[in-house]
Amino acid sequence: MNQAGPSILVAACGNVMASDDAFGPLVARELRLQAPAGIEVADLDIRPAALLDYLAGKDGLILVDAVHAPGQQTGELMDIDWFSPDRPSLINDDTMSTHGLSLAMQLDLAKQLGLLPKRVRLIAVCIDPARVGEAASEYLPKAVLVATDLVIKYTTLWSTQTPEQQHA
Amino acid sequence: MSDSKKNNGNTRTIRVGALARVEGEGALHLVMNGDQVEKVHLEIYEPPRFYEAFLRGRDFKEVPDITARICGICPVAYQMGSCHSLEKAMGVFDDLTPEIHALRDLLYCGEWIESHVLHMFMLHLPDFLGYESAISMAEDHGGTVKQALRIKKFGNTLMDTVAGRSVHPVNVCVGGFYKAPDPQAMKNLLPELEACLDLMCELTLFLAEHITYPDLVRDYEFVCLNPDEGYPMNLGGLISNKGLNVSQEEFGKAIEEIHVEHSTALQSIIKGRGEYLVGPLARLNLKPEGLHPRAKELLPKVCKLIGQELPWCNNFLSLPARGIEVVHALALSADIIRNYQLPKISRVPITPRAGWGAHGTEAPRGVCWHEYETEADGSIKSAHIVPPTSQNQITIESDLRELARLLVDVSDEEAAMRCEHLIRNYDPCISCSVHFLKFSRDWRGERSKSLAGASGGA
Repeated sequence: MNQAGPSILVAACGNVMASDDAFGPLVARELRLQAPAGIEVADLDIRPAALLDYLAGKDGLILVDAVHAPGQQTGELMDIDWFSPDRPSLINDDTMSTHGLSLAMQLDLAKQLGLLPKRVRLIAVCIDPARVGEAASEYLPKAVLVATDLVIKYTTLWSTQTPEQQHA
Repeated sequence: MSDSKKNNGNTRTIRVGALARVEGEGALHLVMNGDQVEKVHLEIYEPPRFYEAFLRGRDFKEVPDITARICGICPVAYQMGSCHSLEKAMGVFDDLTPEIHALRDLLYCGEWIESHVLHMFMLHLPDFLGYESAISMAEDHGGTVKQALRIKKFGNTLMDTVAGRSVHPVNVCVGGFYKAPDPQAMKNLLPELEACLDLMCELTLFLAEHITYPDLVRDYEFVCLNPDEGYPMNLGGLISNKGLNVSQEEFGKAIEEIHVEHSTALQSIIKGRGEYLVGPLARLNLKPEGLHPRAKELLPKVCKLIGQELPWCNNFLSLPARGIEVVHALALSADIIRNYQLPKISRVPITPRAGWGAHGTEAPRGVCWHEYETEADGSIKSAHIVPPTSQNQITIESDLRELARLLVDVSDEEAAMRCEHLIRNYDPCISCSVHFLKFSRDWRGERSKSLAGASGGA
């Protein structure tokens, strides 16, 4: 860990046994091989409710997930500021269950509790939720590599720029 | 979100969007005839998941990892049920060492802590305090939510340490554990564990003191494990407050699973008697003497604050019951960790054989019972799993029937909210029992008093 720089969390969600939903864990696996110092990689698997466990003291958060968003093409890579008004609403934004709160609701709760990082980015691939089984779509391996590069780009940028400098 | 319409005459249908804070998909349909409840259907339409079918032909060693995938919140329950059952089928159950039993209890404590605290403070407490969600509750009770998150996190850390991961642990195997946890890593947990134990005692007293629990007392048949020592978790036969007293092997014959048209989940009854209830309230009412001394010391204080001695026959009290169980789980964990030394063996050797074994353990939501038959090469010939939520389903419907009688005077929106609250008493996991909830209420016949105008939009 780079103690001098900002503390950055990369949180990956997904199910390695559910076809393209494995996107998040596959990016986490790549990052463990080549992640720069100063970032923590958490594979939340199918329990995104654990995200809140990792947020204390974090300056930046990159969420890596497979999503189902209305109007998005399957295989499209989404790279967007979580707080951007352009972020499309996700199918499970308002989902609550005994398995916990959705990522969106957890970030709302984190805000209430003063745990929300200043910078939050969503890097996600749009998938066909009807696809099942272990075999991934053809687009997935490339999407994993592109997403890994994006995560490294943002963590490097965030390590050298404050949020104010980034927005300047 | 609700939608009401008048069908004809005195018949009215009210629909409410999917139930929040419950895992899975389904609907609740009430039919009222005048002031009487004519029908209560908990309509579970989650498709079957066929776990029992696709376990057939798989090697017995694969079963705990496959059954863990039934649920993301209580994988340990599915691992423990399958491991114990298959150890019986393989004839090694009696060879399990005290150290393996203790590590299994410790892992299960991690799951109880994480699952109970998540449900209590993120999903159920907002009902009692009148908030829409944990997010709005956090505006006024941020400190409480933060404390709860700390304890929940500890539950995950405990599972990570014992079993490699908190979601779908990878260190559990038939016969014990692939690798015994590192003693120093275990000892390192103690400071945070002791802090969480103190916090949980305070939070449980807070729940007892500051919440007014709705009054819905019913004559339940409570069912739980009956260990020789301690509180129900991994071992023991099964008992009830109405005469059930059977071995693990006999339990499958003591109950009957029935299929009803309105649910893809099987429902369970005790043969010759009917519905029963599994879960925290059953465990606490039937085996309070098994609680860890720290939880046992807390219990009379909680009883005094809520003004109710055991047995608690009101499932709204499942909230403080879970609190006491978390205290128990934390205190038991501390004892196990303090006594932990690297065991000589972490698992017993197994030679595959043809056999049969059945065993249930106490998932956070109640008894989760498994039954397996194996071939001579150790492959699975048949598998049968009875999860807790499907066992509770008829009891939930009966609770709702009782509650619905008390709600004739309230609006549909209020009625839906209170029914959802009741259902959350059970912390139901419909994806385990196969999922959950839309609400509709039909009125037939004459409604009395001022009811006709009570429902919004009717």
